Amino acid sequence: MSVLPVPSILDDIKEKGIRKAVYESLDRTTERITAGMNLQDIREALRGDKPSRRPNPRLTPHADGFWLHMRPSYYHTSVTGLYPTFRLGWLSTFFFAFEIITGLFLMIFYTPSPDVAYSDMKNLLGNVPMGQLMRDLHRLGAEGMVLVVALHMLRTFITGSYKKPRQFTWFTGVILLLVTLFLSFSGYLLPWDQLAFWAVTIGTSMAEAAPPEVVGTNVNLLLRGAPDIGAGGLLRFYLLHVFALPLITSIFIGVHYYKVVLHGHSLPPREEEVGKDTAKRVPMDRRTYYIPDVMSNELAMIGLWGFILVLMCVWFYHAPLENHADPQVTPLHTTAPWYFLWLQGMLKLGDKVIMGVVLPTVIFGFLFVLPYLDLTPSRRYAHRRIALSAGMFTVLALVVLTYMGTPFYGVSTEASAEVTQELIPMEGVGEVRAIPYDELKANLTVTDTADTIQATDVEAWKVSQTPLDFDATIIARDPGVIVVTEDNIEDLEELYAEDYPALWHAIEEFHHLLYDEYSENLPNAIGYISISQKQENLIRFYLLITWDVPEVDEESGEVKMDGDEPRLLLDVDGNPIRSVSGKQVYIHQEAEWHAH
Amino acid sequence: MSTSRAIRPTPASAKTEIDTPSQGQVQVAPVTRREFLFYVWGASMALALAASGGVIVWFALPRFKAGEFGGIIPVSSIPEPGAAPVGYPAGKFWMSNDAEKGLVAIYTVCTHLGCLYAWAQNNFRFECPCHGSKYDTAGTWLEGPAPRSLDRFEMTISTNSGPVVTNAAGDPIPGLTPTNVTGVSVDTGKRIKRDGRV
Amino acid sequence: MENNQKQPFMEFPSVESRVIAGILFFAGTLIILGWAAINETSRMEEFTERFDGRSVETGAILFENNCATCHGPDGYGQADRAPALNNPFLFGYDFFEEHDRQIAILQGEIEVVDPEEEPEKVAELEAELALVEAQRQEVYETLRYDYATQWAALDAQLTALDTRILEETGMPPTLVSSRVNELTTQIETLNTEAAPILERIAAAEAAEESSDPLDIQRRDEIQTEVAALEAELTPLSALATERQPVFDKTNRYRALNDAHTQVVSLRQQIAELQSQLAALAEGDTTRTDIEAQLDTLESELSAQEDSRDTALEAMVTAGDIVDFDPEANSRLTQLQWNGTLEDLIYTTLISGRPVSAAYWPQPMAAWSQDAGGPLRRDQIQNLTDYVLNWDREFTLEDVRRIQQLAVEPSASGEAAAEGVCPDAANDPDSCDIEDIVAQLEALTLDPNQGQADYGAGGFGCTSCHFSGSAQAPAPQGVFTRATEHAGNNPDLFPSARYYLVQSILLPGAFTAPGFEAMAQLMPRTFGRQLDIQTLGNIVAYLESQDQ
Repeated sequence: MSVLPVPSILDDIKEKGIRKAVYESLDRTTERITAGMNLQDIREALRGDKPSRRPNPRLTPHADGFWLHMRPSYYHTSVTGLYPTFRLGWLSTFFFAFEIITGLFLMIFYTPSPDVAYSDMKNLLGNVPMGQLMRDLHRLGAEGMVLVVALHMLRTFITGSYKKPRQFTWFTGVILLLVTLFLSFSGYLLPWDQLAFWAVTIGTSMAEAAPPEVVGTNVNLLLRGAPDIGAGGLLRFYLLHVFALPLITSIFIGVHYYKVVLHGHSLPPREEEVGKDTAKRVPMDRRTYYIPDVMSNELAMIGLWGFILVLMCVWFYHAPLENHADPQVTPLHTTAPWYFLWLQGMLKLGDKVIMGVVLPTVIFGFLFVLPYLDLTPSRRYAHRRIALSAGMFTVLALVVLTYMGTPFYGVSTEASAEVTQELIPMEGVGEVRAIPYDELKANLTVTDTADTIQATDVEAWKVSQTPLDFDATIIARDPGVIVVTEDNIEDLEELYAEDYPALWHAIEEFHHLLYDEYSENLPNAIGYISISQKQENLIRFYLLITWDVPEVDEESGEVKMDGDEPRLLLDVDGNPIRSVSGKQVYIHQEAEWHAH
Repeated sequence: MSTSRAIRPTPASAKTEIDTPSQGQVQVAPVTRREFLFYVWGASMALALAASGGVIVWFALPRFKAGEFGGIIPVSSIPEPGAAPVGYPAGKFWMSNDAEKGLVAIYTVCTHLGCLYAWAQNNFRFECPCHGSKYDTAGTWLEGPAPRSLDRFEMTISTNSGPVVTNAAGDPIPGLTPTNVTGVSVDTGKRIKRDGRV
Repeated sequence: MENNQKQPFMEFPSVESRVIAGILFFAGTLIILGWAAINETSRMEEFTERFDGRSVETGAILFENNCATCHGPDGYGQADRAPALNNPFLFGYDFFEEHDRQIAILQGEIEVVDPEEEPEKVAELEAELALVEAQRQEVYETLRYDYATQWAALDAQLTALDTRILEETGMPPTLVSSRVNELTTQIETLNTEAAPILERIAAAEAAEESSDPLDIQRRDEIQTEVAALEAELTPLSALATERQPVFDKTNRYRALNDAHTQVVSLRQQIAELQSQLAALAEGDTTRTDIEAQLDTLESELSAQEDSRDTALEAMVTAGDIVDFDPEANSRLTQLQWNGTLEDLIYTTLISGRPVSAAYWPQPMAAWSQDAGGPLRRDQIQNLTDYVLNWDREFTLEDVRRIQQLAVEPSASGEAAAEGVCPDAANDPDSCDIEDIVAQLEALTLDPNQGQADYGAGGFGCTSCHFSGSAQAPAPQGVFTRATEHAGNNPDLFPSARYYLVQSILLPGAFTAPGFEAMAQLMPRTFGRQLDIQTLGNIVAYLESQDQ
């Protein structure tokens, strides 16, 4: 007779005693939750015992449960090692999940509008606890994901895993690579800083070059929402980034992984007979069960990568945030994101349409159809010398093109502007901003702000009707100015090296740039550094360079040389023409550029 | 690798089956070292998840800067004692200097059902347009369905003779005039709810 | 069966190792998160400080590029151009805050004390009050009238000039000017004598008769004499002309300085006498004596105070200084602005400020892109941060650097209307460019002076118009371009000069290609600021810029 009008656990307790009744109830619940494993089964799995029940309860969660239904219940032991997969496919998925989680939280504090996007960044970084960490994690994860996905493809190519029957898996993989690149790229724009704005401008300009013109123009308009990136473009990129592209990625990850499980992970090439695919025929003694072995390994991997990412972002990596986007000013030496540098490198080599659109299309088109073209049956390295060499060559070419995509290759402007850009870059820190405020404060060259040399003064000197001796004028205006000549570096070292290391470092670099790096373009150059107090906590640092204008070959852009000496441009009286240029920067006491 | 271990024959000592020698007794095999480590791992995982959850809550909770509702709002001058209250819509409070009780900052929302009450100059009291609750200039309930008097905010008042802070009950501060007060900061993050219609 | 096949290499080879590693990773993550959480509050503060600091840095560059032309490189304003921003009134800085606080406290204490019961205490407090009030007065007068440093510098300049004159002429400057007068009189006398002679000679020549040889001899004599006198006069009068303004200015400063010194010393004497008087018992015989002395001193004091004010006014009228009233209301009070100072600066930058007699005679362009200017909202914020960063404890030196103060509303601030077309900003049709071009034909133009006026020391055109400027076309090659425009559109621009004059006086009439976005930037007030000669000089300078 039941204790209550309906059957309940109380009857069980009455019958079996409280401990046993509770235990059994717990056991049943656990079995329901795990879709097949009771407490005993779980303990057995954890202890490394053989399952004591038949059928094997460790297989039922795969058969009956949602979470594991897509995972194979066992792996071929040969593919559970680091080789051949290096866990790259798993890591790609890990990063994708990681990006979704961190991205969702970032969305709380973000509005996709040019008016507020940048101040949202300020709020996120300065008024949201752990906001900076969250952003850093998301950014580092994005960069990591691109890298891991690319390496995953390289690995698949090297082990020949794209071959029959896995052609379509490879095909979806290439789609995922492309989507990953666009996911990362579309996120680039969202902070609405200079880096974002111009990197994306460059990227979308490539789309604009797609032939025929009507396609390129309209693709560009579709992406940007206007001829230039603005409010519309930001919203579009945001929607692509948080909705469209993740959706596409999720779908194709599903297809991709379905195919992986269907065909089984391809075995290391040497373990198979040529032309055979035995991944799905796993002998009993080569089975590694998902529960508990693969599962525990994956959990440990989550712990490992979570730890690495948090560690990196707390102490070593911070996502860059430059000045507010300025559609009027392209910073010198703007680059595309690093994973598009190879494309930028190709663009420097030739025509925008051929290099920026046709060739990349051909390359990706080739990647898509690779498994359908390469019909050789063998996956063994020894049999694939040509393919592997071509692969290696491609990687090498990408590295070289990436280098060529950086500003180190082939982009240079006026030498004096290069010098100042090097020391005071338009975006980023540079040698000068790295100088601590106190070092500057101790080395003011002007005591009265009224004596400061203004940029407008220098402009006025340049256009002055009566020729001015710039060097004398500078000294007259600011007698305390730090003069850097070819020969006085040792005196300067004595003055500054010990007490003002950062200032000294900047002076040394200035000297190096003037007399080693750009000595041909800036003959007989003299550098000046004028430091003045502008406001109570603000110092102005003014770099001035005077030099004799050299004669430049119009075609090559190189300076004409007389032996070792650059040939100087002379005026009507046969005197060298002297030129002057400068760049100022302000350094606030609290700005602490050097802290980075 | 562990595959082999998983299918190794079970040692007798590791038996985990439940024996029931007597009614109500559950005999459980002792925990092995490996099993124990797994439990510790599980606990550490739970802890890490809980910590992350805490971080997320901290992350997502809004923080208020000075000058916006929820933060500290500076007010440069106060009304004369007995004058009509002055509303600060951005800070969602009325600054009222009751002739007898003194200076209070009152939350603009009626305690009944969340309507915004209005100042009725002719009756010289606050009246709620929704259900007719009435309050005096210090925000004390006079009539109507409201369950309690109006909520107040904590104030820090700079006077000529030093700062004065509202007490925990939110009582009005008497004896303040525009001449002896140089500024008030109202902490709209600290709302004082008073029990009953007092 | 387990060992006959090679096991693959794994990162966590045994179950136990991966479990232990797993525990360590989670624990490690927890520790790092904890560390980050502990430091998070200070990190956020640091970030905000750094971010705001960098905003000021950006603002400083923007100010230098856009605002310094009119508001001065250090924000002290420029006479008749734009008011000071680096200015205590803007920040509501109160020079007397501490004094006024003490005075209020003392007055409060005096009120509380019953004078019947504690007369001594009241007297004590009142003495203290008088002391604080005197200190306050001193601060006030120093800020308003103390130009000792400036006077000393001017005096030194004058002395140096005098020494130079002495060296060059061998005469003290006073003799130089009397010598100049003497020479001028002599030349005039000679010229008067020569006039009838010349007339006779001319009449003889007209009648084709030979002139009286005596006349001719006399004329030649006079001419030689005049030439000799003029040779002496020219360098002397040049020096005298150079000296005169410095001398006048020094005198104006001297008058103020003397009066102020007198006032200070009289005050001191009065105070001393008063304390003597207080120390004397009632009915002391010397009292009347001292009281009489006091009366004299006080009337002298008020006379000196009057002459000090007169001297100050003279300096203000002459444009030497701006009249700085330390007790003036803060700008926010003057404007009856109920927002914060940040709001005022931010919104003024966005929308600019129209011309208003009661406000400011010059307009300020709207700087925000959404109001037709060149800057974005975040840049406006940077600039605002930079201007606000001038807030500090202002000193006398800061005050003396102020070149221009904003007009107080309600004060009439009608600008002097002496320009070529004073109403150009409001009524472009009032400006007849063709007529002005015709007027220029009659003048001798000096391109060098024009260049000076074009530059930073003059109207500051170069702060926008320079080679490579993104805001405005460069002066280099402007004449070439003007000639092209005139050639292409003879209907619009009859001549290149017409083009230049129109561009200066009516900037809105035509925008140079490539600068459409900046069209609103150029002030429309040059019609009022430039007189015909200055305009002509600038045009002449621009016409020399053909490349």
